[in-house]
This record gives sequence, C-alpha cells and structure tokens, in this order.
Amino acid sequence: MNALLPLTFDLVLSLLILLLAANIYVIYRRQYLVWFLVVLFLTPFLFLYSFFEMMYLSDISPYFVVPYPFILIFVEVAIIIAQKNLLASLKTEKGAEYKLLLREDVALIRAFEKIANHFIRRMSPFVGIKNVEQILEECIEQYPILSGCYIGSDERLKVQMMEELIGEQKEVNMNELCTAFSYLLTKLIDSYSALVPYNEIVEELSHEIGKIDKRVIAYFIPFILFKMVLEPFIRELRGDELKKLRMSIDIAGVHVNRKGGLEYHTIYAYDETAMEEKFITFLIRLLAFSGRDREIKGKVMEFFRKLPQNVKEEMYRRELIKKLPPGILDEEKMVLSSKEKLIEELIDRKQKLEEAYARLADAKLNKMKSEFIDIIAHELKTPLTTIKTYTDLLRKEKLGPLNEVQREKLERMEKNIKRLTKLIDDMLQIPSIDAKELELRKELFPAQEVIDAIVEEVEEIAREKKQAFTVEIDGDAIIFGDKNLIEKAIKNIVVNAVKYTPEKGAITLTAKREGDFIRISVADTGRGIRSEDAEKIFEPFYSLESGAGLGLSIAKNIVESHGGKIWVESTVGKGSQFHILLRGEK
Amino acid sequence: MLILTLISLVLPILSYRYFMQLMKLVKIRRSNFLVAGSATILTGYVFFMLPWIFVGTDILAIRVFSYYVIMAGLLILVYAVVKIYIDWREVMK
Repeated sequence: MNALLPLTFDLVLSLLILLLAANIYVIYRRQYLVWFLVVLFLTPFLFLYSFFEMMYLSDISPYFVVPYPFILIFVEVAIIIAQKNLLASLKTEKGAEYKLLLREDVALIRAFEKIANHFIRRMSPFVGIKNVEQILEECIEQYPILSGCYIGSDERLKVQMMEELIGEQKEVNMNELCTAFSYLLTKLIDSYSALVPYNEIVEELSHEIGKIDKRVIAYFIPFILFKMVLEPFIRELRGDELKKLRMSIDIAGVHVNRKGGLEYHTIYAYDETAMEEKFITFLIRLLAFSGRDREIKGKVMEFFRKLPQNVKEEMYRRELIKKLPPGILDEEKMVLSSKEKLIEELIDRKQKLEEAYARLADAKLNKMKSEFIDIIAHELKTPLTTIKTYTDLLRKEKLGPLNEVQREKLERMEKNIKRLTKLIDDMLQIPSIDAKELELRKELFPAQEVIDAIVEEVEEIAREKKQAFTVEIDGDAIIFGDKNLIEKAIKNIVVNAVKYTPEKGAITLTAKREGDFIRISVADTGRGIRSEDAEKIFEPFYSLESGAGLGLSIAKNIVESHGGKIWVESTVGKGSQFHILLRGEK
Repeated sequence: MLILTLISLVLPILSYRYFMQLMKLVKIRRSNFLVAGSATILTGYVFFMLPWIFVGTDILAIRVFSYYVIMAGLLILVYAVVKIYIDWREVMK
C-alpha cells in the first residue's frame, strides 16, 4: 500500500490552508490570528516529519513516533490561546476585533444594556434595586425575548445569558429586540424622571448615545426622535394641555402617557420610512395643536443641534433633515442641498476639464503633425531646387550636347520634378492654413471668374476623355474670400472629378446663390464613394486610388478657413456630388 | 504514548467549549464546517496512533487509512477557510 500519495495530498492541503490564513492575516493583522497562523504553520511540518519518519526512522525505533502527540498538544494549546484571546476581546470590547466580528444583534443588545445600566446606576441608590428588578420583571413579562436578562449581584443589568440564547438562533428579529429594550428604557426613564429634570436626562442620554457603535445607531433613531427631541417639549406642557394633546394625537404606535412620557416602542413594527413619517406627522400635529409654532420649532431645533455626532451623521445619511417641516433646521437643509449642488457642479466641472484636456491633447497632436509636415516639406524642397537647376542646365545643353535618348529622359525627369514640386507646395499649404498663419486676402469676386479659369485648364483633358462638361453659374454669385485660394480649392475638386470619371462620363459644375451664401457643386458620373469613406477623404494623405491624398484636404482647409463648409453626397456606381458653401456678397 | 494521546484528545474538548462560546458572538458562522473538519482530522490522528499504542509498531494499512481520513478533514477545512475569507472580505466592505 502506498502511503505517499495521501500524505502528499495532506501536505498540499495544509499548505493551502496556511496560504489562505496568511492572506487573511495580511488583511486584518489581528493578534489572535498570529496564534492560528502558528498552528497552521506547524501542520505542514507534521506531514513533512511523517514523510521523513516513514521513510527513514520507523524501522529503527518506535520512539520516533512520539513527536506526533507532542506537536498535536502544542497545536491544540495554541488554538485554545487564540480562541481565549479573541473571546476576551469580544467580551471586553477592547481591541478592534469586536467591531469587526461581533454579531449585529449582540452589538445592539450591548448598546441597550449600556444605556439601561446608566439609568440603573443613577437611580438604584434612590429607588432601590428591588424596584429596578420589578421594572425588569414587568418588561420580561411583556416581552419574553428579554428573559435572559437579569440584575446581577453588582446591581447591573446582565445580558450574557440573553446573548447566548440569541446566539443559538440563526435569524434574530432586530425589531423585536428594539421594541423590548425600548420598552425597558421607557420604563426606566419614567422612573428616573421622577428624580431628575427631563432636560438633564436628555443630556445624559446624549452622552451615552454618542458612544454607540455606528453599526447599530440606526436602530436608536426612533428612540432619539421621540425621547430626546419631542418628549422634552411634551414634558413641559401644563396638565390641561397634556390632556388635550393625548386626546388629539392619534398616531398608531405612538402614545403619550399621563406624565408626558412618549411610549413609542411598538413603532418598530413599521419600516424605516413609516417610522420617520410617524415622527414628522407627530411633529406637525404638535405644532398645529399648541399654537406656539415658533417656540416649538426653536426648541426642536435646539434639541436637534445638541444631538451627538454619530446620530447627526445617521440623520444626514437618511436625509431626515430634509423631510422636516419648513422653519425647522432650514440652515442645515440649505447646507445639505448646497452640498448636493456642489457635488453636481464638481462632477460637471470634472467632465468639462476632461473634455478640455482631450481637446488640448488633440490640438497638440495636430500642431505636432503640422510641424512635422512643414519640416519634411522644407527639407525636401531644398535638394529638389538643386536637382531642378541642374536638370535645366543639362536640358539647355549648358553642360555639353545631349543625344535624343538623353533629352527624352531629361524631359521625363523634369515632368516628375514638377509633380514633386507641386506635391511639396501642397503639403506646405496644409500646416500654414491649419495654423491660420496664412493671411487671407479677402475680396469680392464673381464665381464666374474663378470657374472660367478652372474650366479653361481642365477642359482639354475632359475633351480627351470625351467627357461632357457642363457649367451653370448664376450671374449674382459673388464670393467674398481669397480668390487664389478658393480657385485652388474648386480646382482640386474639379481635377479629381475629371480624373476619376471614366471616358464619355459627365461633369457638371454649378454655382448658385443661396441667401447670403454661394453654393458651388461639382457632380460627376464616376464610380462614387462609399459612405464610410465620405468623411475620411477630406483627411490629409487619405487616398482611395493613386495620388498623395492632399487635394481634398487642402480644399477643406481653404473652405473652412473662410468659414464655409464642404461635403460630399455620393452613390456607389452612380457618381458623386461635392458641395462647397461659401459666404457671398453681403 | 497512551497518556500523551489522551492529553491530545482531552484538549480539543476544552477548545470546543471556547469555540462554541465564540460562535455565539461572532457574525461569521462556519462553525459546522470547522468542527466537522477538525473532528475528522482528529479521528484520522486516533487511527494513526492506535497501532503504536496497542501493537507497539506501525501497520501500513491503518496508516494509509488515517492519511485518507485526515485528507477528508483537510478538504472540509479548506472549504471552511475559503468561505471565511470570502465572508470577511464582505464584512470589511
């Protein structure tokens, strides 16, 4: 039988557990976890020893098996120490463990226990602990969930048994707990109020509630609203006023007793919103009932503002302040709404800033592109001028006679040099217009003038290709702009039309006045442009066929620098129609 | 050997007492898996020690069996620890 296989698995699994526990320790770094980590660190060693012992030692002496129980005892002791540490931390609430690990219901019971014990400590010397026990018994009778609670020998409320009882339940009804404890607190406060003025009680409560863990403070909100905000005012009412109030306020879950105490504990049967609504309704009715609207509002505000920070934070979180009737905490409401507005504004500004950054990056990129093209074009132009000079000298036979073949080749060279020069000139024009460095010499001129000049240049090529060339120009089509540049823009489009329209095709050039604008259109019967290319053809160096792909981008730059618009409408297989819209005579 | 083994078996009972007290207070509840995993490992350990206590030597078949039992216990523990790790991450959020 092979023991190595399961032993290897055991070793791997123990290492895996160690790794996970180490991860947990890295996140939480608690003292008790160190002990667990020690335990888990020893376990793989146990398996490693097992390997060693099985392979080398077992045949020699049975005493080599003794380390197993020893290590196991050490592991178990370490586990016990770790558990004791954690338990002590949870019980004494020292260290951070209890906040992280303590169950919410246990934390709630402990919070109620502390407040109850505060009152028991203060009142028991006066009323006697027997009376306190009697109150507790009455509460247990009313709410059996409290049956684990008792008054200990130190005359304090003990909840450990209740914690244990609760601990055995999987789901604890938190509202039931709140109802029971609120009832107990109401009874204790009622007894205590016979000894101490209610305002002092509120101050003591405020101090105690300020210590409550944020996790459970939400459960105390109804208690705070009714007992700390409303009750002080009700307690100040005269006997007849109180009687009237008790008769007139009819809100399910809220009851005013003969002493002016508010019994609100059954309100926990409702949800959070309903509880808040009941408080608001109570407050509104109280304002209407008393006729001392201003005075009550002032007092309510005073009580609200005295509330501890953890309670205020919870009220802001729930936006309870906003729901209060007008005239109460208006400043806080304004702060709350201005805070919201500020956040909205901040989000809006952040968006705008991001857009501006994107535009800036885009502009920088465009500038870099322009500068790059500018440098390249200038660097190309200098050697090209030298080449052109020497070609001229050669062609004019200043450097010696030429034979026919040489002359023919030189002519071809010259033709290509011209092409290259034109291309470089075009390239140089893009950055200058992009950067708006070019001064536009604007003037008024008839569209007829530039179109005639263009037609004269391209007519011959069109005739060679047997293309029908039609020109329609309105007599009042007067353009306001740089004549030379506009001619160049229109010419680029017309040249393209002639170039890409097949033989026997048709080209129509029109110039019409449209309000303050002149629309120049060049229609052809070429192969057309796909819709996805319609925007791209105006980008520099984008060419659908042979060519540098600069003509249309130059045309676009010229038109846009004049505040005009250029676009294309096209149907694949039928032809294209380029439109230029320019400002006309004013 | 018998005494040592007995001590190592008594200590878990004490540990279990603390463990149950803890489980009543903490909100992360994987106690069943942790107890089941630990109990299985302990059973495997008892099987491992039996031949040494009663025969005074090793019996390979029992040793292999105990390793498999311990493996089952460790698998349960891995599951429990993974669950605790996930739960705690949620708690921290």
